[in-house]
Amino acid sequence: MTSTEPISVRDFLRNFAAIVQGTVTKRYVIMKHGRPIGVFTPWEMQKKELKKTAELKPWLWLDILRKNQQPIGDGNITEEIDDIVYGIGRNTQPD
Amino acid sequence: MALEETLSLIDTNVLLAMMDPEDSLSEKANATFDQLKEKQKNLIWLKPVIEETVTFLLYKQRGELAKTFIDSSHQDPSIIVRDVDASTQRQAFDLASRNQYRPKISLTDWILLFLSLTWKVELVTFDKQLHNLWKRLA
Repeated sequence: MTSTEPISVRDFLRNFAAIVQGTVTKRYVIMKHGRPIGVFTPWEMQKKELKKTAELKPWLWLDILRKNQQPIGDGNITEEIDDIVYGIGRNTQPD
Repeated sequence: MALEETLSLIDTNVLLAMMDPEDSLSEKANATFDQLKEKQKNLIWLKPVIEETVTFLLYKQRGELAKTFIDSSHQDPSIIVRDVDASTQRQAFDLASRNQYRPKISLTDWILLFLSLTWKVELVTFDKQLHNLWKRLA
């Protein structure tokens, strides 16, 4: 779990040396007059998050669902959806 | 390529038909998704569509598949999950009103239609009534 802490501008500047030297392992939300004005994220943490994002494979969901295909409906799901989801089969009341 | 050309709105019936290999539209659904993937499209899954899909799966006692369906969309860069606010619902309802509430389709369908027309993105559905209306209005 990523650790995030609020820090005042004053404390951020006071601890700036320690923060930029890479000894800090948490993310800081920099506050001014009680409002967030920015975020500081240590590079190692940012790098890990970027790597995680890069590993996400587009369209993986389709492979996952195809591996889990199984009979669900009565052969014509498109006709069944309104009946099941809303309990109002379209064919029960013709236009 | 314009942004809207990279996006497609997906209807519930296409998702469910893809998951059921015995459905009459299963092959068509799988071919549709293959084409969208080939074109490197990003898919918009509206929350009401996700809810319809999960409701259908739960009713059919496919709880594990419903869970897999929800999990699969998490963090997939090709899927944009979009909520529908009250203003969008209202505008979709107005669209239904202007069309004398015909054909008889659900509010989710009107929302899909309204957003596809507003965003100028392709609407992927197997519902003939909805598809015909979309073709007429787009």
